Parts: sequence; C-alpha cells; structure tokens
Amino acid sequence: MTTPFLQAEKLERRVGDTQILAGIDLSVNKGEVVGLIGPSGSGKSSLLRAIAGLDPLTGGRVLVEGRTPTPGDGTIGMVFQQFNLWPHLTAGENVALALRLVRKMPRAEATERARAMLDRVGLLKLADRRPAQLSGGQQQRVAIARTLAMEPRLILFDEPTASLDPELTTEVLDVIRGLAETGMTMLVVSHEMGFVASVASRAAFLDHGRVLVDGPAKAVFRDAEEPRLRRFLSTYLQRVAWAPDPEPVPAADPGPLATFALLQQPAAPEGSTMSLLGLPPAAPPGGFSLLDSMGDPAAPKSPKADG
Amino acid sequence: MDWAFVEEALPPLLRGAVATVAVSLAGIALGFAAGAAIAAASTAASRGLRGAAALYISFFRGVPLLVQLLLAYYALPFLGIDIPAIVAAVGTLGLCCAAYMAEILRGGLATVPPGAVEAARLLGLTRAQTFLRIRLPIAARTMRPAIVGEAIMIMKASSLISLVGIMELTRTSQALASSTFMPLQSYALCGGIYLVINFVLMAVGWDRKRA
Repeated sequence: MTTPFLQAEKLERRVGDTQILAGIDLSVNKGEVVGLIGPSGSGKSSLLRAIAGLDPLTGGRVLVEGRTPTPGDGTIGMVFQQFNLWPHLTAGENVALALRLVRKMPRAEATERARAMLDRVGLLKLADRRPAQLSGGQQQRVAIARTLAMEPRLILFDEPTASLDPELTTEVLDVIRGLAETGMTMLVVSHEMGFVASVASRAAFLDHGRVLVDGPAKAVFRDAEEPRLRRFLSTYLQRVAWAPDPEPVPAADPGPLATFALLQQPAAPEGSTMSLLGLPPAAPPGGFSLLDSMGDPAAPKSPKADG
Repeated sequence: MDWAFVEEALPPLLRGAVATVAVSLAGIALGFAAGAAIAAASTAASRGLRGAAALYISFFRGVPLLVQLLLAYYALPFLGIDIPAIVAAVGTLGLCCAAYMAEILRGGLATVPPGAVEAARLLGLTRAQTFLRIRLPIAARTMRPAIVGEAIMIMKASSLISLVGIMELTRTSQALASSTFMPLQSYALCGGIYLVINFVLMAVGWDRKRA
C-alpha cells in the first residue's frame, strides 16, 4: 500500500460564522488528474487555496509526499482565474523572474528557459509583450508557462477559464489537456463539465464545504446517483442545450442521463465528450460536442470569490 | 521689460533659485524616506505603530506649514533646542512632506492586486523580493502623478521659509523689489523662475510609457 501523493485530512476552514470547508478528506495519487466540480460557494476554490497554503486552515492538515508544503517551496504550482500576471513585466520576464530570484539562475539561462516554456504553450513570438497587450487566453497560457518553469510536482487550476470567452477557453484547455497527457498531477476546478469529464481521471463534487461524491470521472458524470449532483448536472446540461426551462424541479428531475437523451442533434464529431464519457451507443451522441467548447455564459457572476 | 533691470536682477534671483531648489529637494528626499517609514508603520500589525502613524499624519496635514515653520523656528529654541534656520527649514518641509508621501505610498501599495502578490508568494519569492520587484513597481505606476504633484507643492511651499530668514527665491525677490522700487518686475521674474523649475519637475516625472 503506497501513501498517496497528496493527502488532505479533515480540512476545515471557518471565517466568522461561515463554514467554508467542513472537513474535507481528499487523497490524490501521482499522475492523477482530479476535477473538482460544484456550485459557486461550494468550497472548490477554497479547497485549492487551502492545499496551496494561501489561506489558513482552522482544522486538518495537508501532506504532499508525506510533508506539509509551504507556499513557495516549489512543490505546488497554481494557475488562477484572474491569471495574476505581473503587469509591469513582459511575458518572458513574468516567466523568468522566479527562475532568477528563487532558482538563482543567471539572467541568460533564465531567459532561455522562459522562452522554452513560452514555446511550449505556443507563445514564443509574444515573449516581449506585456500582459495588457495579450488576450485573456494568451495571458492564462503565460501564467501556465510561469508555473511550469518552476517544475512543480502538483499544479492546482482554479477556474482557469472562467473569465475567458469560448474560443479563448479552448486554447487554454488544450494546453491543460496536453499537460495532463504528460502525467502531471493536477487538481482542476472548472465549470467546463465536458472538459472535466474528458481530462480528469477522477471527479469530486463539492457542496457546502463537503465532498459529496468522489470517484472515477466517467462514473461521476454517468451514473450520478447523489440527488444534489444530479440536479447540478442536469441544470448545466439544460442550459448548454438552451432548454426553455432553466429551473429544474427536484421532484421531476429526469437526471443527467435522461437530459443527455433529450439533446438530439446530428453529427457527433470525433472525440466528443459523449464518446469520452463512454455512454451506451443507444444514447444520441450529438449535443455533447457543445460541452467541449462551451464557455460558461449563464453562470451567475457573483462578486464574491467562489467558495 | 527693462533689460538693464533684468540683467541686474537675474544673478541674485538665480542664486536664490539654487537655494530654493536645494532646500526643496532635500525636503522632498527626507519626506520620501520618512514617508516610507510612516507608510510602513500605518500598515503594521502593531496597534501602537498604526496609532502613532495616524497621529503624525493628522498633525502634519492638519497644521499649516507656515505655523509648523514658526513652531520649529521659535518654539524649539524656547524648549532649549537650538537649531540653525536651515535645519528648521529643511526639517519642517521634509516632515510635512512625509505625511503626504506616507498617504500616497500607502494608497498606491493598496492598489496592487492581491493576486499578483499571491502568485509571487507561491513561486517562492521572499517578502523583500515581492516588495521590491512586484509591489513597488506596480504601485509606482499609480503613485507617480501624485508624487510629482507633491514634489511641486513642496517646491512652491518652500517660499514660506523666506520667513525664517533664508535667502531663497521669494525672499531674494522681496529684497529686490524694495531696493529697486520695481516690485512688479521683481515678482514677475520670481514667478517665472518658479514656473521653469516646476516645468522641469513635471518633465522629469512624466510617464512616457503611459502617455
């Protein structure tokens, strides 16, 4: 029996009277990609921030390879919803700064490595641009390159595409997908259900600071039995299909599979989420291609940070 | 314009201008350094430090600079502290400037997005590195116009030190006005020289990248 790569034990975080994390247990093996899904305020982002050590815990502990990581020790990299690039530096300098200051690399070597990292996310040509001169998708790719340059052993993605339009979302998701294929251990908070279903090996559904469902991603999406998860998924699917009734009635909830069946559209492209979900061939495959590229347009943008 | 007058008046006025610039720049430098310390105190964890900073800022922003100068020049010797006029002048300008600088620095640093600091922290930058390489340069963008404005204010406010007997630009022009009986020309020249000095300050402080 091997110890898991990441072990979060009974994580609790309480701010005033609000229980943000209510005793979360999560263990992740090396090379696993875990998707965290759930409604806004469910604690997904807070869980990532707690694992990264950005927010203090009121209970529980985080172990990575058996020891508690501290911010900046090189164990954990994080990619944020708002990119958090440094506006006064060029893309290349954003990637090179920590290499120089933390890894003590000579300037030329750090610049060279930064260029290699930008090349990896397809942005070598834009190394001399400042963040303000880049699109949101390009900024997020620079942020990913900045994180990768430090060679973290675990990368946390905190809604990396939530502030991007559908086209820009796709270019960022492609980079993350490529990263998953290299065997990088990752935790991904996302409202891109199709992406989570296709990239994550495991998915966890959070609500009110607890993990309600945790299992193989395909199972979580396919045979969602937990009522709260069923409601969450079917709301999402109805919205994606521009269904007229955005308010599901819990009693009459058809469940996500039934909703899948409603989405009859011709011509399923190769590799659509549908096939990745491994659903029975009787189910109509169309419609789910939407999930691969859909943004999250109807998600209510609440001013307070998610979770 | 009477060119003979200009020829006669300009050399002493320019000597006065040099004194004005020297005293002001010394005051601004002192103000910036002391202001940074006060800004740090005003965001410190210690309640005592924060209170002291708040007290300092309200005193030096709330009492007219002229009154502060008179207090430094007349009240300190009365308390047995004897300081030369030039020290009283530079010190008062600097300590007053510090109160404004502290507010500019505190406000500027507060505009730095917390995410930029979190990213630096996770990538392993130390607090000092984060301050010097991330927070300060980002804040500098927003603080720059206010700092230039404050420098200009001090340059002009330095005219008040003529009151404690220092022969700077304003005092020189007053002397010139009464000795030549040509106040209009004297003060016009004086004002012109202030304008030129402050144009230089504005040019130096202009953010080319933003324009």
